[in-house]
Amino acid sequence: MSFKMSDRKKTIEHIMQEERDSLFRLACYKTGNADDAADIVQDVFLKIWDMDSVSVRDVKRYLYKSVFNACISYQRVRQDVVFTDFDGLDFLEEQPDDGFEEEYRRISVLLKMIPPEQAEVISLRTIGGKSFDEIASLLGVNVSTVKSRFRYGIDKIQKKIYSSVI
Amino acid sequence: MFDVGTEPDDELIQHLKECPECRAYYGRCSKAVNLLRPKHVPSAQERKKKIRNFCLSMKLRRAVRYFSYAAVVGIVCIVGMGIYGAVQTKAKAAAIVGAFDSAIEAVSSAEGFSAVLMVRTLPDENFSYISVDAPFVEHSVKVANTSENRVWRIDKEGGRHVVCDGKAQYLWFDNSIKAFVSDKNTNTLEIFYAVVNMKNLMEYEKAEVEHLPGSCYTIEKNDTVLVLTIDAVQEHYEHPVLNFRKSLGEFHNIREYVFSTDSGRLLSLKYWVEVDGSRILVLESRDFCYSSDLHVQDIVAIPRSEHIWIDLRRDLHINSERLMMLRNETPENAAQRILSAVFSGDMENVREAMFLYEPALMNYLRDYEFVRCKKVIYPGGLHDRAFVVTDVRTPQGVNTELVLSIRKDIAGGCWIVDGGL
Repeated sequence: MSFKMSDRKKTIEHIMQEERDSLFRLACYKTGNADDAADIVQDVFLKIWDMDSVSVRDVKRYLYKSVFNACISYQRVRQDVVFTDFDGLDFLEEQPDDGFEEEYRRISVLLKMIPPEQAEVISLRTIGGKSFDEIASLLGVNVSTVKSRFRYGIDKIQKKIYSSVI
Repeated sequence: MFDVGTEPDDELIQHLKECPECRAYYGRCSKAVNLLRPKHVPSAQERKKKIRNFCLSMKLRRAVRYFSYAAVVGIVCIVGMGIYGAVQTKAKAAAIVGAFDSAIEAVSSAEGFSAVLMVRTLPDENFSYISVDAPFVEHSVKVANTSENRVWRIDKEGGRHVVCDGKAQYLWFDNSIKAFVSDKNTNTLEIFYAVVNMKNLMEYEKAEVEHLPGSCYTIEKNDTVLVLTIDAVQEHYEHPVLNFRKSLGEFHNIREYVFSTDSGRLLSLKYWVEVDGSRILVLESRDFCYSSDLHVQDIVAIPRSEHIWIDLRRDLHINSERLMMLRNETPENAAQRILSAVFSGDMENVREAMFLYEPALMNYLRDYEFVRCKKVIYPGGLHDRAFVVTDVRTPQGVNTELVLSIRKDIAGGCWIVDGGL
């Protein structure tokens, strides 16, 4: 006996495979741990796979929203891994031997300087590799809102970086 | 800039060559973006394979489930659990309704209460303006029930004040000499009406439990307090305070009520909304106090001599032809006329619409330019209030969105500006 996947499931599987790398990268830089990031993404995939009520059109948005929510819950539990400050000029300079941990620390601290909605847009752009149009579609907002959040977030970050240097 | 596949155009490059300030700013922003772009992603090939193959495993899992005896037993168990779950759910619903009933009884029998509400808003905006981006602004609320009627007072820190003495409402602003008297039933308070009429708020919440399934309720109880948390994602509710999110297409909110187990009184409330995956506190009560010591004279005191009081219960002295024109304006036409006039300094053309504001306050909007109306949102479904979403161009030539709040329920049927500027 064979079980034929419906067209809907096939489409959802295709979307999941397409977005897998981007979601994994985002989860990595939100959790700081590749193992946990992979588990988060897999758990989200399993959950959405079982949800008959999610339309194909909304799957991508649900995937990103669910991964973000799962990462937030993860961060609440892992309260020992919170970087809230940086120390001077060295922090700002990328080093050739910077590994994942150094990058995660730097990106975490920088994104904590700005409101969560701005950090979300910036991380989708710089970590997730999404265009502004794609981000607008994922978050269900206008592309002008996405651009504003990106612009204001980057502006705040560069101000904080360079005011601390002076 | 910084979008996928975009590079600075020739015009920008030329400007950056000529303007050291912009060149430095662009350089700092580029560096910030670069610092946020990871170069190393942990190797997770094994884990990626796990993710890739899960779809296949889900198919196999379903095959096993359909044909095992364990599934049959499981179905029986699930039915049993469903019945148990239904009984538990009913008991829980009864406990929640009971908490609201007690709170309704307590507030109805109280002579008055006072509270401080911290709300994410702006001091100069109207009472319905709540924004997750705004800081917390303190609101002092005092309500007293006299033998004849209810009196109340709301003082918004740095902004506006409203008093109702049971016969009329009085509205004045810290930064304006103008003040207004209106009918006692005027909807000046907007969302705060639900707080002043706490009984209505509790009745709404009780009705939502009984008639609007879908929210998730949790109860924690000890000897002194009962904490009720409501996690709501419905689209079709009309929460008297959180309805503002509906106009933005966002429904997920979390509400926490703390009741005294002894008296049943509401002791505190907190509201969060979820935006882009983040939970943001937007309203929190402090110093909730039920007291018979509230002095009615203090609640209804108004600064009569410090302001020029305009009685909105009379006409605004508009000639009949202009009045007809203003009354027949659509919200889009009103927004375009008002914004164009404000931006060009033509205050004569907008004196009716802007009478709540000091003309001098509008100077900072000179040299903006109206571009277009994008859409109209009627909060609460009532057509005497509207949020008109527009595009305007700043003096720097950048298009930005401006949401103008207008209303026509207090000025003889003419649209007036109520916020957004």
